[in-house]
Amino acid sequence: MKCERAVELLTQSPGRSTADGRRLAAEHAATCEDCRSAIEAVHRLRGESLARVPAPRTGAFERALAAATSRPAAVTARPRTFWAGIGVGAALAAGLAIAVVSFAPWPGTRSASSMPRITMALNEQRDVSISLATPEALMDAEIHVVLSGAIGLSGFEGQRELRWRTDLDSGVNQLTLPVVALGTSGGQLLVEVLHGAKRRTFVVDIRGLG
Amino acid sequence: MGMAILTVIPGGRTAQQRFEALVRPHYAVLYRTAYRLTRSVHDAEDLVQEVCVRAYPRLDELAQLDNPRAWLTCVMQRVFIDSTRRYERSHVESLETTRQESLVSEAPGLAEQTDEAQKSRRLDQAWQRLDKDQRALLALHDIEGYSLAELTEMTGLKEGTLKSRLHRARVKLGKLLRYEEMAAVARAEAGAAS
Repeated sequence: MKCERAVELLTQSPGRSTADGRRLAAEHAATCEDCRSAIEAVHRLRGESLARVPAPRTGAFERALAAATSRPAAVTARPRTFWAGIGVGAALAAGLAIAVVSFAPWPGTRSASSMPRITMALNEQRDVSISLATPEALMDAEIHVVLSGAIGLSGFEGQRELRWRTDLDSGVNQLTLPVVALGTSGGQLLVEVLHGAKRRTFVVDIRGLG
Repeated sequence: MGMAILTVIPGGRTAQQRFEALVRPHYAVLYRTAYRLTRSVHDAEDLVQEVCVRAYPRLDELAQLDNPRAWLTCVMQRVFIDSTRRYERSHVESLETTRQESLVSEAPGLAEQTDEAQKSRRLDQAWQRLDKDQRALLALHDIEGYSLAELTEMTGLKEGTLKSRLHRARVKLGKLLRYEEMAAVARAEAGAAS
């Protein structure tokens, strides 16, 4: 009898195995130190499942939530198929605003005429997601975010520029930024992704409302 | 690079509110699982927080799922295993090294006042000496009760591979527990003799 099977028979509820099976497993375990160790471990861990877990400290979830939402998240990878299904498909189904922009080959910035544009009311916060498709992984890429005009980033009050490094997986990578309209005159959000000598720039035009 | 796409997520509930509504119902279970993995309140809170940080940018994906808890648990498992410094309070050592070091006498602390506390402490010590992927597998399967089929989905590993790894992890933990018990006896004897 294989060890995995013997441990399974001797640690599962009796109703799920035959008496003969359990007898053979017990005979095997009697001569197998590894199986006896594994069985002891299973019993200890099952006891743990009944043990009380200390409660988290007050406000732990709120702190986790604040950490998750108050800083620009690292650029995360998404499979191309997911993007196509959720991004474009969901947007079309819901009639949401979506801009699809083709960019010039590296290096380059898309033309002003194709600049994505959104309109925001004073003090409105809106998540702006920028997605970058790359056929190969980009290790240690630099992300550079610059704000101009009357806009800010929630959680980064007073900061007009952010810069950090991250790895981008092949496929579609998405960066979500919580943009806040600080005035009615609008502004621009610029995101640069730099990797070696290559650079890709995204600019979003934010129009003020009011 | 190919085409780039820019999306503006519409108004209504903010992304933060949507995220909170999706994740808060699962926080208690996530924290409990994190505690099983780390055996520390602080580390468990940190681990769940990191899961939230990783999950927030994928809010749209999360919102589409039938079982967000399994998805979040899968993220947690990866974060825990991939982390190189955090949630790692001791290094993996060979059993022989472990045995020698464990037999060094230490003054018993307050946590050793009861048999249950002693058992718990020995499990803590043995647990921290397992590889992190072994801890993750044992915590999810043997403590939290995830089936091998569920773990196959989470990890992408074949069931046979998981079975083998599970067995090796159990054997190692069982042996470590035995060594910890021997070390406890040695400490008690050293304390009685002094």
